[in-house]
Amino acid sequence: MHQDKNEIMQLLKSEDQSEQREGAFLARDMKLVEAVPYLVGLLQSRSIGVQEAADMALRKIGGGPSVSALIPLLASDSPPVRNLSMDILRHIGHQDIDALLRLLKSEDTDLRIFSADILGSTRSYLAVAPLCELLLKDPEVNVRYQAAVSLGDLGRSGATECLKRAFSDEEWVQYAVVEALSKLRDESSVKVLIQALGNSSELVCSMIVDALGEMGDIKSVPMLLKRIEDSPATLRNKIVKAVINILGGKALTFLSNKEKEKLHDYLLAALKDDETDIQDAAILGLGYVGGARASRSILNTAALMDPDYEEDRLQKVHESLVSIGYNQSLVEGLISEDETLASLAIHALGSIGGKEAINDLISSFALKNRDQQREIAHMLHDCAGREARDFFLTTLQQHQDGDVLKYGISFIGVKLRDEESIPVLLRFLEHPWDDVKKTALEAVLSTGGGTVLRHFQDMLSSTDTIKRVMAVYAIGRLGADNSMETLAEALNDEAYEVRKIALEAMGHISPEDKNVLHLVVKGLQDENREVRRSVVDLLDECPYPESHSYLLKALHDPDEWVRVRVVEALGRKKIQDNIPEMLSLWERSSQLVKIKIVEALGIIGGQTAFRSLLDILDDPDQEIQDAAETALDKLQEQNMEQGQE
Amino acid sequence: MNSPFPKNITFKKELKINDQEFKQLRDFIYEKSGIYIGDNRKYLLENRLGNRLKAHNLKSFGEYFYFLRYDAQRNEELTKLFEVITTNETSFFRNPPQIKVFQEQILRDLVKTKKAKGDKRIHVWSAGCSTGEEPYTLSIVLHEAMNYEMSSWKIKISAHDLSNAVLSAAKRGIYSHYALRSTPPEIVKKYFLEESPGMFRVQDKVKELVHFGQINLSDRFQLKKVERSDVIFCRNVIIYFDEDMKKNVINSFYDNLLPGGYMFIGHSESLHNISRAFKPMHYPGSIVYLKEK
Ligand SMILES: C[S@@+](CC[C@H](N)C(=O)[O-])C[C@H]1O[C@@H](n2cnc3c(N)ncnc32)[C@H](O)[C@@H]1O
Repeated sequence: MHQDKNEIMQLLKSEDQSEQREGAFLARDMKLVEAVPYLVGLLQSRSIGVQEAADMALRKIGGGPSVSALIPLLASDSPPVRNLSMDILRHIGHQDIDALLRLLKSEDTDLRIFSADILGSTRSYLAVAPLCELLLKDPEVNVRYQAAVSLGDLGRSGATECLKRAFSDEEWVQYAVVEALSKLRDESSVKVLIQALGNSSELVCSMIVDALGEMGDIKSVPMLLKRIEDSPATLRNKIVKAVINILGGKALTFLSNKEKEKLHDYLLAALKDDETDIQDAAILGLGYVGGARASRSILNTAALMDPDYEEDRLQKVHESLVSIGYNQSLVEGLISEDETLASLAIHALGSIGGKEAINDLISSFALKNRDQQREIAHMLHDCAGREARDFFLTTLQQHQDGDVLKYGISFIGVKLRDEESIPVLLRFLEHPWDDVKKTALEAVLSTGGGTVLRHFQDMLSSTDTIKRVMAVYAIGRLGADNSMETLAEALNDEAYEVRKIALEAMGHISPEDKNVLHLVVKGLQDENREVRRSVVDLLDECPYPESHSYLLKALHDPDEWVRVRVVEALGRKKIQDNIPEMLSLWERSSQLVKIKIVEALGIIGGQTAFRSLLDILDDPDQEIQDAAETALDKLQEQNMEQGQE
Repeated sequence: MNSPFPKNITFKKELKINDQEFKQLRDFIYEKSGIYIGDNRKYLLENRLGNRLKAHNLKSFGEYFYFLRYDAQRNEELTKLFEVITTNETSFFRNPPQIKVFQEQILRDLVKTKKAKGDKRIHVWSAGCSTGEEPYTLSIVLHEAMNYEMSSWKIKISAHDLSNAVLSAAKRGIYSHYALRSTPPEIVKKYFLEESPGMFRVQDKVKELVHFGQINLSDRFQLKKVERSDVIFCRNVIIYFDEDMKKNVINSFYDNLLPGGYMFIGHSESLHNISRAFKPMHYPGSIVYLKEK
């Protein structure tokens, strides 16, 4: 792909458009500064395709030369050329600020606007003072407007003072000033905006209110509340939104009762505003000043929301309803025909919990469709205690739906650990669906006890492999006294899945039991590689030196990933004597195993490892060399640290 | 034992992807395919790749990353990975208004200008062809449009995709009812054979025009080797790419198109902020992008 510079220049100079494009792309890939003058020329091509290639190249090459070469195009007669160079300069202008600052002094109004615009994208503090001067002194209103916009884009404090003075300018400039101050987001800009709230036109006020709401400074609240009384309805709703956004709902609880009452009415009014973010603020606020009337109004607003596209809003509705708490409006919602309403009520009641809510949920269950029954079962599973036991037991007998069943099973088994119901739960181990089976398994294991253990012991002799896997797993989980023998027997099972889970189970029960070691190493000869990997995992965790010789034997396993695991384990054991055996593998190893060996050497450390790593540095494979280098660095670091201690 | 159930019963912990692993994999995938996985899709990656890890009995996403770089089977695994992260959703006559505009406007004009010049070759490129429904649809449309003149023209449809798995399905050319859900019944009758109930095989004359090949759209130099086209279809593919990559791919298409050629992108996709080089042509129900002469 390496191209000759001259070749690229030839392409750029060609008359043919596809050659020009190819030249531009190659210049881009090489970041070829010499190409800049030609690229700027191509930017003015009649073919947009050529322009675009030059554009992409100039953005990538950038730098002072590109900036200087593009500036003259700002004065071009062709609007597309002008816009294009503007756009590129917004992207790369910060690489030569001085050139842009000089342009601010131009006689030409347009050039002053353009350069102010570009400076706004540079994020450079060097642009602040010159833009301020432009804002206050330029004779052209459009230049002053752009200066304010750019000061906002720069987002650097230090501009507040001049923005404040610009409030005495025409209203057109004020708009930009409000926006700029809101972008600065510092304390002094908040102060300026609050002051301006007192003596601005209604339109500017409305912009300021939005800005203050966005900025979220608590100091603006008193002034906003003061303005609320004598504002027209639309502005009032905006103020309500701003106040809620700033305080968050919580602080509302600190208001006096009288203030709360007043706010309650304003909030209910704002709930009917056309703008959704005003509605949302009202929903949030009502969550804290609450009451049954608030719940009803919120539910009515929520009924109009689209569950597919307004999930976030419905989540807020939920939080508010929960925060208001149990009331009759929720009960009415629960039995409503409207699915959105009913679903909101189900979730709210479930999250609120308590005796009344739980009873309401239980008694509505039979009247609901499948989806809502799932929701109710889910909520009851989370919020209810023993009082829902009978409900769930009946449901387990009568219901067919997998989700509802899983909630019931898990409630009885995991949550209540209800031993009496074990026979019911055990039946679900035979259920045709895997997810139900798995939930039932978890449920009976959580409950535990003698019945459960005996059930699984019987299951061991099943002819169905899945059942034997379950049984071995369960016995491992229950970890009863004599289970080691049972598991040892399972190591001879004809199905490798059973042998594998038996190994995992042994490790789970007693990772430190020496006897386990002797039982499992036979598995290193297993015909199945997954079984052998599980043995290696066990040996890895085994704290006794006996495990080493077995690991060394497994180094020569036919399966690559078994060998990887062994090398890793040997690394973690940090035994220097194992190094030669590990290295004996080298010549026959794949890149992967070699890299693992290198990493293990880096962990083991010591003379031999160090010297071997030095040798490996000469390996023809770059990736292996790199790995060796990293390992050596790590060793050296460790040495230094040890030296310091 | 066919059920996946026993594999899910294990003492091993659930596999979670950590931030570092996510970044490594994300960069790796981007480098290899140009597909950018946003932070919001981290969960998706964890979920979908979890099964790949289980399949190789790997312990962590970091190990999977090793596997992808060093394992002897890494190339096959890469293909699997691509299958997991891309969606191959497609169908015959997908978005009928676009197909109609292609048949009734674009193709008609193209044939007219070509005839006038005495040039009887047409090359259409389906880039990101998935399991073949799109290029076969184009072939059917060409047969319909050219009718008896077919034999006097030299017509070729190149169809490329990143994934080998979808390409082998495409070459097989056997489809279920579902793939034909927007295909007019008379077309099904005319161009398919119902091999077994509900399974349809595209006829050989439809297949003959289409040439499949593997390509990675993120590789500018591979794209330069594709024969220049009269019409390019690249629908519902660039959605996977980030902005830079979109720009590169679309610009490569621009270079590949013959002057006066047309490009179709997905119905819900746009070239906004990506390229201004094409002239958007508005037709009923669809926009087609023209490379001006
Ligand atoms: C949703 S399908 C679109 C199929 C067809 N064009 C249509 O609109 O029905 C997207 C296809 O793009 C392919 N794809 C994704 N990234 C690619 C890349 N970098 N190079 C080539 N093909 C890619 C995927 O493999 C997938 O088959």
